[in-house]
Amino acid sequence: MSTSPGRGGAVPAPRPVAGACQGIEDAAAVASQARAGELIEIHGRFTATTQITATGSEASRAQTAGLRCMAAVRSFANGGAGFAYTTDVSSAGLQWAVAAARATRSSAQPPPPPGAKHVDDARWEDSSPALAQFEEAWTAPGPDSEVVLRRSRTSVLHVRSDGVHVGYTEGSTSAVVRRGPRAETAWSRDLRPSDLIELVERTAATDREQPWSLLRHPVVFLGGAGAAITAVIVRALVESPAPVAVDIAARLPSQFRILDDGADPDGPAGGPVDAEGWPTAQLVLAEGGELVIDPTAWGPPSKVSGPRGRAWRPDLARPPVRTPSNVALVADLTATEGEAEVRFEDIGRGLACDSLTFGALSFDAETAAFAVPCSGRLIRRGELTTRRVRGVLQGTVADLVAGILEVHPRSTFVPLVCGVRAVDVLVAHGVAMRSG
Amino acid sequence: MRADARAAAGSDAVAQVCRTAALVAAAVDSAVEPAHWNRFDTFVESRTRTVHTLDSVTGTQTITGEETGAHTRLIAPNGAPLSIAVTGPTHHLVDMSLNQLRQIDGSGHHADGSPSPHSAVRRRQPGREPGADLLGVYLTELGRAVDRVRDVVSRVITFSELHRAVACEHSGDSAGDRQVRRRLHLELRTARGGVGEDGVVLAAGDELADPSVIGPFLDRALRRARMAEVRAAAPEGKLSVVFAEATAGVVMHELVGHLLEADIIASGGTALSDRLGHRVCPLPVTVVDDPTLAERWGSFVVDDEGRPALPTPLIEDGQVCGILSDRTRGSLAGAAYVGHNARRATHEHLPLPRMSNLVMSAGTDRLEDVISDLDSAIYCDGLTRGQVDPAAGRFTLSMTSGRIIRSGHLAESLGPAILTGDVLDVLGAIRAVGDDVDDMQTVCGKAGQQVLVEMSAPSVLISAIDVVRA
Repeated sequence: MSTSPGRGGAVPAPRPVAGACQGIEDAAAVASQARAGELIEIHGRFTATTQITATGSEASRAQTAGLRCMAAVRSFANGGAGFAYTTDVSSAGLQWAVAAARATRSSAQPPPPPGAKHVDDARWEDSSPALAQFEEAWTAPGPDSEVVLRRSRTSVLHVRSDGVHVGYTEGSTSAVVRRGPRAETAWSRDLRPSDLIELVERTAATDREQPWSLLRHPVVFLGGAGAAITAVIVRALVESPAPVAVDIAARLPSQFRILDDGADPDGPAGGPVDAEGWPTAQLVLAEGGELVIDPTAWGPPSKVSGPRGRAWRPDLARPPVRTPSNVALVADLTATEGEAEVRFEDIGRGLACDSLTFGALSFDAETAAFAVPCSGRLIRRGELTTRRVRGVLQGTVADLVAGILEVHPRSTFVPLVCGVRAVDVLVAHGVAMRSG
Repeated sequence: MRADARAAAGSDAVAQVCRTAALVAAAVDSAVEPAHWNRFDTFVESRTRTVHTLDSVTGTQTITGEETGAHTRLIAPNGAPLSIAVTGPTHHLVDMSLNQLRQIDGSGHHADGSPSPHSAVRRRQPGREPGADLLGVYLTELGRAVDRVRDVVSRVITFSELHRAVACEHSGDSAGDRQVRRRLHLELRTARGGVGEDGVVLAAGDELADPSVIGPFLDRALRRARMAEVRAAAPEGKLSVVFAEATAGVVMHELVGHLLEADIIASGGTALSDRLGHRVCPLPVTVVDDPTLAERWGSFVVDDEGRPALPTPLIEDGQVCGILSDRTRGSLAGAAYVGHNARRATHEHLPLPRMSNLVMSAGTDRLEDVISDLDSAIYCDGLTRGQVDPAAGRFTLSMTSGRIIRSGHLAESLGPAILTGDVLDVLGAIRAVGDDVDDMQTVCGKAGQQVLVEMSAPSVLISAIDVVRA
């Protein structure tokens, strides 16, 4: 426990959340009040967070402590479903939410079958050291820099009137380092001070970026940029019309696969059970030139087919939707012949892209054409230069995946629209960088 | 619900959050030692939201919910800030705030553990809201009207209503506000793959059944969908771009508004803050952020730090003149106007200087004349995301819909493209400002916080922007 603010005053890890939100222990009792022929589902999340923000220098170190209690209720009866949410997780608040869900019951939706009855899985716990131990890593990151360290711990509770009562705890620690226009993020359930040091080094001052064009040269996407380009591919597989998605999968070289793994505790999304209480599992989106999960399999659970265990909620103010959780572009072991990373000496001239502005992505779902601002360092005569260039990366997702030569997954995930595994990807052709 | 009943419910909601803010503030004040912390302010928010969706594919859905929380900011003698943000039952916000405070400050508090005073919790009765049946009937009728259009293969109609009551206690003064936002939105897809959408904001007193309020929006969505059925690839290079009315508001939002927000300026200066007091547009362009406009998407009476809303000119006659700020960031040398624009996405977030309703004044040019004078250019009538590197002044806008201008006429529709450039270059390249004004409502994201904003602007011709097609 700290006794004073400022440097050296440690922000403690969040306390165990159980018990912090008074009244939620009544959730099962409230659910049990379901009427004849009715199924009541209560999904609660109780999150404690601590955050330290250091801007420029230690003098402007800010601390935040947060506690959030919220529950979402669904009422199923007569073939319909109703939904309501509340932050009043007391017995009275939950009863109001149940009544509100009943009153809004309209959509045709049968109740989901019962999933897991019990979960005992500690793999989603956070084992990172105390935030104070990261202090040395952010010493004097620079006057134009900002370091944000955040730890969160969430208790998830899923109860139903038919006796399902599942609960587990998840936690994570994240670090964001911003320096000027550049930002690097690390997220983990086991973040180490060395990870933060690496982020600080990655955002170290570099040459001013020059506008550049590279029309027919290889591009190496590094780490977070590799995650962002993976997210572009997944977006096309999920949002484009089925024939376009099928074509993309067909052009993905057979030694590569795209996975969605809600059961991977290393990823920021997912969990031992999904938002409907169904056990999670690793799913294949595309493999061997084939699209395994069709775009029509994503959406409201009542309207789509395919395997269960992939219903998630962006927040508790919305009903569950089937959506990717932790995605990854992976290679067969033989595909890279044991190489641990992309060898720049094999590339005469090209771009090592280490920054891709996913938030500014322009994407045409009908054709899977995309354009996205990027920056990186030039590769010349097989060597990575210090010259930073920027432009707009342009192409279609089908051409992009057809040009993938090498994939080297890293151990970390990047939180984007879903969790995406950081990866180094060598694309030999199919994308162009235009000066902009 | 009748209008006077609505007003009464609104004042009750504000009174309740004011009471809760006072309770949390008093409890925190009594729990901290001034040697360790001093409370800066306490913010309490209560919001209820209802969304009705009629989706021709997935069916009808109504979601409703309520959210309440408190955020207390404290400052240590050395200036280090501390925030306590709690979300939960109204009558537990005091206990939850003290609980979090104890975690941070092991020695500073002297809370005796006695039960906290509970505010009376009032909530609407569960069940259908008055008028909900009428709303359902109307939305269903609207859905049937869309479905009667032969080439529409799917549509989603959404009616959303947000009630937000906020209060902020600072230095013993308390101020509250209540914001109500109602919006009807339609998205439809035609058999040839065209997607069109349109929305209409419903002010207090506007009824859904009033054909003058919602009538034209079905036509607009249909027109957009049919225009999008066949799209050519956008041309590339440095091109003249005519931004349609309202769409030009997005340009001003990204290029002007964000670069004059005090937190962004404080993080290293921006291309525009360095030009305060200087002319940046060759034409007498005026851009004002005005949260005081009645019944607009970004309006408020007091900001989320409890200060009264002010209209703030940012550019006046082409000259940079004002900034948007909050209590902690204050003014800036050279700024003739400083807006009270502290806004939070929710009570969990720290307030940041944000835009509200950004209004660009109309010019004198007729859009038809502007287009007829252009030999080859782009007409952009749809922008989604924008990004700007404040210090470098580089921006990126994602064009979602547009048309080619060829020999003075609007020609075929275009596919998506990215528009990039330098802020000062582009503001200096404004060549015409239309006499037509329209507004659009959207959500602005910054530092992980999404707030409702509105842009109102005429059409604008910019003579040179880099275009890269998707």
